[in-house]
Amino acid sequence: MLHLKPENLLVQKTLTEAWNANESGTPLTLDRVISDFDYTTLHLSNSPENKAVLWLSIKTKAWQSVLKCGEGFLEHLESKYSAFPGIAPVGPEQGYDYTLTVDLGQLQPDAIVQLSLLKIHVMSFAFQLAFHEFSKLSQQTQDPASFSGSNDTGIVRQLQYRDDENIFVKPSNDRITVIFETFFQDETDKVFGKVFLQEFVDARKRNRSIQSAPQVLFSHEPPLEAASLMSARKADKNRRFITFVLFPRHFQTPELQFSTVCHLVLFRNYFHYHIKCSKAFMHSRMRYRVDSFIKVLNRAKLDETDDGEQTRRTITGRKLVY
Amino acid sequence: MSYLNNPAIVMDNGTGLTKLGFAGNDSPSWVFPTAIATAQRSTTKSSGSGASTSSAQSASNPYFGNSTSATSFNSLASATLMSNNLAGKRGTEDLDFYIGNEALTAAQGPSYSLSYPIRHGQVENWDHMERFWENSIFKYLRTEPEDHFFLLTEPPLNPPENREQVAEIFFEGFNCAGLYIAVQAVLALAASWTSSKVVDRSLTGTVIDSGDGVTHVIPVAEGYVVGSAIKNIPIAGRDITLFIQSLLRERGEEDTTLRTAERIKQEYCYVCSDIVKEFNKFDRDPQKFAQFIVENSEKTKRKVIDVGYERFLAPEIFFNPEIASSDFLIPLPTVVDQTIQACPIDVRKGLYNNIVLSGGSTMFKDFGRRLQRDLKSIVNNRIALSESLSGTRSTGVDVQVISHRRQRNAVWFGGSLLAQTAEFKSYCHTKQDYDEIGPEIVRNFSLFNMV
Repeated sequence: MLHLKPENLLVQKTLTEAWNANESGTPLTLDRVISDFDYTTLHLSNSPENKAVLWLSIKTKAWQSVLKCGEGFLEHLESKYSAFPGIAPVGPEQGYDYTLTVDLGQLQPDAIVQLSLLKIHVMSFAFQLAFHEFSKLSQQTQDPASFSGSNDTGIVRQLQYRDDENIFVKPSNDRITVIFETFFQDETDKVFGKVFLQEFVDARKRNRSIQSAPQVLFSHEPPLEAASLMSARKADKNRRFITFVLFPRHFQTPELQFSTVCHLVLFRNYFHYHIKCSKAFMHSRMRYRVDSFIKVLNRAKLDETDDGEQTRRTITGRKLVY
Repeated sequence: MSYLNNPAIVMDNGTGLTKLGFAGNDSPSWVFPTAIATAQRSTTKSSGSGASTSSAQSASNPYFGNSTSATSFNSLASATLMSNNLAGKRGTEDLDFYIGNEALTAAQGPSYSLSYPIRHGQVENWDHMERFWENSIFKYLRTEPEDHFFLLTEPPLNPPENREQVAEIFFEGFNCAGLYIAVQAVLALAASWTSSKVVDRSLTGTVIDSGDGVTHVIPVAEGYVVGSAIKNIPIAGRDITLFIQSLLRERGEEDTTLRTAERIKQEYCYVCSDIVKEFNKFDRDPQKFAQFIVENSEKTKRKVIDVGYERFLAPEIFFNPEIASSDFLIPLPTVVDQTIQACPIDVRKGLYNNIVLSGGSTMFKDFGRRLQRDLKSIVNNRIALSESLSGTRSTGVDVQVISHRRQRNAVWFGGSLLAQTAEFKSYCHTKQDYDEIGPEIVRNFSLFNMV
């Protein structure tokens, strides 16, 4: 079973190699393009002046929409790395959205993991804002004097993480609703996807042991939370909406928040990976079937008459074909 | 259509090693063994009815064949969780596998078995290969195949049916945006364009591809492989390693493991111009002998191993195979000459003029120079003979062997070079083309012509 890790293995490997090479006194010359899910490209290169200083740039589809989510996005990213010496933001490299300089001389090994999480940190901003708002709203509810009667602020944040697909995040006073809008390019994927999603929805109903998991809803119609943002765009029959309802227990501590964000951000990739896995399983079943049919067909073949003059054999008993 | 901006993915699945990476990079991002560790015996079909095979294997746990599996999913999957679920109706062994180095580690445990889905350059087990690709794309490259173009490689003389299989898996299984399948030898030629010796970027030349298992000599004329003239030599990296190991054993060195022999091969060996002279040089100058130090993992014990004549003798088996084997006795330069002589006469000059090395076993120092010298003398002898017989003057044949810095991963690098060009995507077959025409579309790919 594949467990997609939130960190980018390749960034991690490349940085570790660069760090080791730098420790042994021979810094690597690097100019690598690395990709991540959902139109994300990372670029790792030496800074123009110093080989021991690396530039890590990121370009991601979601950048623009994350920027629109609220104030303080760059500060949020900076705060993730300010604890580690040797990592500092600089003006973005040409063609990329954000660039960090990494001084290999000062880099600590545990900072490498954080650097490989750059994409998650970018996406996490929208969720972080929602967590903040949730705590504000829930305090208001407990304090009747300031309670306005409404249990949300009406703000729905939209993360456009692929060309045609969005994530909507809506905090309210007792929950955070996360809606994925997905779209299948392929007919077969659509069928597999439906089975999977239905299974997601039903699993929680059937099993008591996973009652603490977030509630999942699946629909063809845009849910009401996202409807206001959807109405502006054309309705498409191929769209599916998956709603996760997060309760406070899913984001009580920073660790929980982090793992929740990771799971949500990787949800689509994980989902698509498993669609591919099921197809591979189907394919292997089909190959197996074809093999067994061929065996049956071969049984119907007549044995070739083995007369000594026409077939010549090698010393090991194989027939010579000529 | 923003997938057009994503870098193309270059995958070179070899018999031994798989090279994965993104177009435009100078080296592959991942190099690992083309191995897959599956959760059950590889003799049982992975597609066999899951529930029945797993219950046969362990009656105590009816849902999973291997209760000791280290995967996070299985440890979480108690019987109560799975009982009502779709996954409970059949096993999930098909999801329980590792690839690459992780596969080698997993296979040391009892519950996984290792298999190599590629034999002699060609895919043998499509079930395993499909899963190998699946995992390498999602886990190692972290890409959604829908967003990327792919460049895959195939050995020369790969049957078109295999190409179709690949296309079915990539277009129907993975929905990849576009696909190009290139012949490895052609990519190796393209990789040689980085050498300063190459003046015109032609796709005519002879590729000497020597990996771990076997060495191929492949003539390529204007991007097409001359299939009838391909020759194989059963001498390659592993034979050199074994030869070094046998020399170490004869001398009674302290450590004669294969691993040590391999390290010695990589770090100390070179090609000499004349064995007799080199022996004399070694005898006169003890400085030439090297010492190789083996430390155990805790760095507590040290073993010192002398490295002697094997420094130049080991690569010599390409040029004088009789010192190591009694089965195959034709030296490499002669094989190259025979290969080129078997080609149509109008391309021979181009083939002599552009002999390109590829693969790890061609990395020895001065390998190219020695090959060029030996081949030149063969060619010059023949020219002299025909001149004396016919009485006319020959215009001469230029023999040139090209060594370059990217030899080790030449095939992958050539792929990266071609896939980063702006035209690459117009040469690919896209998902739309595939849906329109079907798998036979991949029987033909237009060649890169970059002049």
